[in-house]
Amino acid sequence: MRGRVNLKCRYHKAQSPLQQQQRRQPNTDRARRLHPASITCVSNFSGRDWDDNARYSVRSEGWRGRVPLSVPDARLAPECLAPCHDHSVRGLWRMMLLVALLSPALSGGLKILQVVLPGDEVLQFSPNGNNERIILGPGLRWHENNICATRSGLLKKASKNFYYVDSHQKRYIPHEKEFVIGIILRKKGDNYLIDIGGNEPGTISCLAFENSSKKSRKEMKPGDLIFGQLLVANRDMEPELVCIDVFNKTVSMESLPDDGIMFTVPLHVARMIVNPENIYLMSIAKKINYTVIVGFNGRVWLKTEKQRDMVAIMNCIMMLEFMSLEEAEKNVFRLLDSFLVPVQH
Amino acid sequence: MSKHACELNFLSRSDGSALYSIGNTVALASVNGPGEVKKFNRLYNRAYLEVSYSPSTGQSMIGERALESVITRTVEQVILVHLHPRTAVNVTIQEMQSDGLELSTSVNAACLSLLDAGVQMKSTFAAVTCCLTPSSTILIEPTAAEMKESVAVATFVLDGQALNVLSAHQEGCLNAENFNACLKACQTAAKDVFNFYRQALEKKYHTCNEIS
Repeated sequence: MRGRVNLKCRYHKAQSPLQQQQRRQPNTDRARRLHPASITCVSNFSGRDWDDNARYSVRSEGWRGRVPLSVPDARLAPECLAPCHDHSVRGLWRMMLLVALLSPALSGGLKILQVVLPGDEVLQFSPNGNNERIILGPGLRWHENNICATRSGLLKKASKNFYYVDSHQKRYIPHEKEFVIGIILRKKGDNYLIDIGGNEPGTISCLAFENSSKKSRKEMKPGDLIFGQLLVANRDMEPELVCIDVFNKTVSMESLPDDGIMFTVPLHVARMIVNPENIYLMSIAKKINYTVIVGFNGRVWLKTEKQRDMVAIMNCIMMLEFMSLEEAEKNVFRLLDSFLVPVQH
Repeated sequence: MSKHACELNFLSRSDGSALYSIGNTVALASVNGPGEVKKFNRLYNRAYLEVSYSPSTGQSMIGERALESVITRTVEQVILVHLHPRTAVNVTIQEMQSDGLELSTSVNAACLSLLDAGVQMKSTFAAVTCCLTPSSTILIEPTAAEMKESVAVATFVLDGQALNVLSAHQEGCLNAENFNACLKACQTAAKDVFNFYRQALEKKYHTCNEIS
């Protein structure tokens, strides 16, 4: 029992509803009450950009809420849908409607400004007592009163003072609160070592699953897939995952069943398909029933009844790497049809 | 000035790659990182950068090691290494064709592959080679034949913002006045290289433009 009590305290500290409320997300509780296990916080994919000789640090905040980058005002972003669709896509429609109702009126929307290279100056900003605030997302850093880009990509502006660079990357860098699909490498004492695609393997405690205690643990073998949320992930520490949320309930799924397929896509494709405004996965669902789980480390797990359908949907999702969304939407039905043509014997 | 051409994301398995050519010299660079690092090379507060260069013919020997160390020291100044402690960034450069401009083609290919991989950097960088002929003309990006006839060859790696010199490599006899003239000529030519980078990346981001 002692182990169980410690677990609650530990995980509550990181994700207590009170703390999240203090971060000015008034819609959080309501969202959670309505769909307790299915709407969860999706991502916070910016790190902190440090100046290497800094005596002070300028923190660039990530944003909580929708990873899909259409959040008009980061501070009021509602918690987003879990990236898990089920066979009947009705559940997903309900969630999307709910999210649309909860989000405040769009004020300006998302603007794509320009393609930037590292070192490009975006703005001049010197902090004075004016209470002006600029929120920097991933890919930007503040150096000597200039805000410059650190990666190549599209500079986007989500609200009147929120900027970030959207880049097309393949390598995953772990960040807190992101959902990832991991592969179990081995058991190490009371933890499992998991490969999440970053520079070092993450760990997950055997107790970090729903309904597990010291007596009854979840046994998993190397090679199993697991879908969890990163509790601790910064550049200095080993990443840690959990499969439960604040209420000690499972976050959509823990270990994924054996009969699906998992493949890797670039990170921007994973973020694109999780966007609730993006109907790509829904248009595929019109033809085939399937279950998909998207991890922010670029790993996507898919399951359908027939193998041919799995390969078809896998190719549809991988097409997004090279095509723009409009082109892919036009081609998706043609591709699916070519796979679904019955084999002539 | 010779023609520049490049293709980004050339290799499917690397985090970033670029096939780059200046005239008849072609190099392929691939970047993997920030990723796992051997215990021996692990640094507690920054990323470990490793550059490996393979020539198109023959074994890699001392000359290639010298080239690797020049490229490593240039790239280290530019990548934000303190953002990724205990990781390694591996840059691998393969020379496909050589017409005398190995250093500048490799350095530019490395820069483009780092841009493609999304490794965080302070600025972009570009290398420009020039040579001084016996009649005191400065030729930018000479061919191997022109370099043979020249008095001195200088390569400058310049940074993308203020065109400061990140590294300089020079062979032959140059007095101070000629050295400065070469530097000025290279700084002017570097602006074209940076425009080329910008065009290559704009092409990459506009073909897969998301609606959101």
